[in-house]
Amino acid sequence: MDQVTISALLADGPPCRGAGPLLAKLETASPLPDDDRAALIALCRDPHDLGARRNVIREGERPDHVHLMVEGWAARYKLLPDGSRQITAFLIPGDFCDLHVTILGQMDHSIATLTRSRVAYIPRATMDEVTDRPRLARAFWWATLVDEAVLRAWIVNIGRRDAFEAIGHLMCELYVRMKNVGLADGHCFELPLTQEELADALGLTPVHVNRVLQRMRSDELISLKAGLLTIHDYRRLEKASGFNANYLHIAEQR
Amino acid sequence: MPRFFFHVIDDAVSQDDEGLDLPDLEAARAEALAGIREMICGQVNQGYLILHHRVDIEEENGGTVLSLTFGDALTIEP
Repeated sequence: MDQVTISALLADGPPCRGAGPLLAKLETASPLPDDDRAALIALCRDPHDLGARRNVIREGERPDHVHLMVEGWAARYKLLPDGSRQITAFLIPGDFCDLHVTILGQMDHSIATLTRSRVAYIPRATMDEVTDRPRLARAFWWATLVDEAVLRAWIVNIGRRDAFEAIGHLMCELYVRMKNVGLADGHCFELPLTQEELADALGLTPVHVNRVLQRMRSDELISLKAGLLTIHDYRRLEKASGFNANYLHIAEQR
Repeated sequence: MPRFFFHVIDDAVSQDDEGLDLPDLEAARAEALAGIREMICGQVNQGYLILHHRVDIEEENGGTVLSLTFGDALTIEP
């Protein structure tokens, strides 16, 4: 679909249901007019199916496309010379993987799926068209600024909190983000992360993560079973981990 | 790769029902030691260290293949 323009996309086919999370996310700051919404819906049409643990894009590559998560989870990561991995972001439906490469060119980190995913490959030319729309340009800027805010929160989390607080903080963040894009049911949402992936995101060992998760279970803060996280006492988890959702810039919600 | 489970026995028993795929027992031992040393740091940061706390490594379909105490992960000199 490289040559297809927005106008052509809008002219053909029914709206893609997969655009829900993207619309919810980009309308967090302010509602968008119908033609801008239609342009976003068009971006989510015909996503590629990717298996779990597949590279979306690798460090050093110069992608022709911007990648957008339509379904599933992915992670940004850096590989260290000793083979270990630091995950620097979790990407959920509605998140752009690499919005910045249209400006920066070369990838300075890699992105891989964690689960089976549907990923939209958006040609640069289409991105240019979309960003010619001032309100969408502003919404993308908002999303990029929030990504930065999340990264700041992760630095604080990794640098200053103990393992229990850090894991709790990450759970609260993911809950608020999932809820914002309509993917949480009450205080329950899909958290398809292994202990190893949580450990790689928090600079911890998987053995220690297991210990902390068990403690959270026995404290009746959470249940985590078959990739489904239920936070039984959100207020207590928020307090215990020093979580304040302000950096996600979402209107007050629980 | 075989799957190893790392059960932490401290003031509670934390059963690992997820496990990690690792090449061999030596790799599992290294993983357990790394975990123990991290948990030791957590204890020491709170001003105590309990050397008999331990990690039991279980191999899938193999029962417990190795048990390491926190003390096993340290060389302590006066």
